[in-house]
Amino acid sequence: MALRTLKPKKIDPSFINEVKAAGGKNIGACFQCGTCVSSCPAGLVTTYKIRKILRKTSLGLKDDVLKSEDIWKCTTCLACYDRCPRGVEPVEVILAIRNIAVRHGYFPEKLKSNLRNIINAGQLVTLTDDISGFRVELGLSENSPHMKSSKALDEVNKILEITGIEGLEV
Amino acid sequence: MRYSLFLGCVAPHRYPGIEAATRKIFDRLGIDLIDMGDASCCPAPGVFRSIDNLTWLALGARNITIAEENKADILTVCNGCFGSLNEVNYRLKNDVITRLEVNDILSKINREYKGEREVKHVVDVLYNDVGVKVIKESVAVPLEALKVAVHYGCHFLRPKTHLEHNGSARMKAFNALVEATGATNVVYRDKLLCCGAGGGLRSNDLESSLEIAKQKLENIRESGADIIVNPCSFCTFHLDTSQPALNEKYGETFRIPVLHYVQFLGLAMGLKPYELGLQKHLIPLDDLLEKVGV
Repeated sequence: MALRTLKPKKIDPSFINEVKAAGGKNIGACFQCGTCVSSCPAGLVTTYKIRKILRKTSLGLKDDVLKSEDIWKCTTCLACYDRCPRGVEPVEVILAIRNIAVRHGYFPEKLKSNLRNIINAGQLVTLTDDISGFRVELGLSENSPHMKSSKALDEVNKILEITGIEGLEV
Repeated sequence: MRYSLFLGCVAPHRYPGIEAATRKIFDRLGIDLIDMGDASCCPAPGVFRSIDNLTWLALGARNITIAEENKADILTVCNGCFGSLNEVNYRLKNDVITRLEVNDILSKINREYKGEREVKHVVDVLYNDVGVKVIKESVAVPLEALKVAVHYGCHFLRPKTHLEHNGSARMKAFNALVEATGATNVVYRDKLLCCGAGGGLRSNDLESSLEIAKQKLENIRESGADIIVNPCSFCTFHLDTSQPALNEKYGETFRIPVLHYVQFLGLAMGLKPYELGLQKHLIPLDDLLEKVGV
C-alpha cells in the first residue's frame, strides 16, 4: 500500500484538545502498543481498531474520525480501560469522540430513537402490551414501578433542555 | 435492612420475571425494597454517555437523589444500571467541579445531589450484606445436578479502579453465590468476554453484537454447561434472544438456557418456575427443570 501524504487543510491540530476537554483527557499518553485492540470484543468481529482511532485523533484527522462508523462499535466493556499500561482509559476517549460526533450531526438513527424514548417515556426500553399482560400474570403492577408521575418526566425533559440535548433527536 | 430498588428498563419491560424473582427472594430474606416511583432510565451507560456526558451525569444523579430522599442505598439488578449509577456516584463524590456543575442543573428541578448513598449491585448485597451462609440456609431445592457457566458481565467487574471490592474479589463473590445453590461452576474459555450488547451496539449494530454473543456462546457450549447464570438483566436479554437469532442466521443449534442469578436463586429457594417468569424465556428450561426435579 502506498503511503498517503496528509494535506494540511484536512488536519485540525486542535481536535485532540477538543477530545481531551470532552472527557478523553489521557489520550496524549498513548504509545500505540495495541493492548486495547487485542482486548477488544468489537475488534474481534469488526474492523474497529481503537489505537487507530487514537492515532488519527492525535494527528488531527477530525472529519475522518467523526464520520467513521468504527467509533460506534465499542461495547464499553472497559477491558481496554483496565488493561492499558499507560492509563489512557481508551473507552473515555471513544465516548468523548462520540459526544463530539453527535454535536456535529453524526448521530446514528438508532441512538436517536433511544433518545426519543427517554424524551417521551423517561425509559430507554419501553413497555409492550404483551409484557404488560405478563407482568400482571406474575403479580406485578401493569407498568414499571419507575416513572410513575408526569413530574418525573418533566424533570427528565428539563435536564435534556438545559444540557441542549433536546432537539438533537429529530 | 432496606434498599431503594432500582430496576431500570430491561427487567420490568422485557424480562419481568427478573423483577418478580427479586421481590420474592428479598421478601424471603426479610429485606425491604422501596420502589423508586420517580426514577427514570439509569440512563443506559453506553447509549447516554455516547450522546452527552453531562446529560448522563445529571440524569444519573437525579436518580440517586431519589435514594437520598428514601435514606436507603440503591440496589440494582442490571450491570448497566450499576455501571451508570455507581460511576456517576463515584465521579460526583470525588470530583467537586463536576458535582457543582451537575448540582447547578439539578437545582433547576429543585433537587440536590448530596453524596450520601451507595449504589450496590444485587450480588454485593447478597454476598456482603446478607452473606453466603444465609443464602445456603435458604436453599430448599439444591441444584446439584446443574453445571453452570457463569457470565459476570463487564460493568459488574470494571473499571476496577472505581469498585470497592474489585476484580477477582467480585468474581469470587459471584462464584460463591452460584455455588451456594449446590450447582457446579464450570470453566470455559475467555470467561470475561463481553456479551456484545453494551455501548449502544445492540441498538445501533445488531449484527456485530450478535457476532460477539456467538463467540461467547460457542465457548460456553464447548464447556458442556447446562445453563448460563449471570447477574445482569441486559446480558440475560441479549444472551437469551441472540440464540434463536444466531440459529436462524447460521443454522446454528444454540440451546443454552439463560437465567439471571435472582431467578436461579429463586428456583433453589423452591419458588415455582412460573412465579419467576421462566415460561417467557426464549430458550426453554423444561429439560433443565426436569433434571433438578422441579
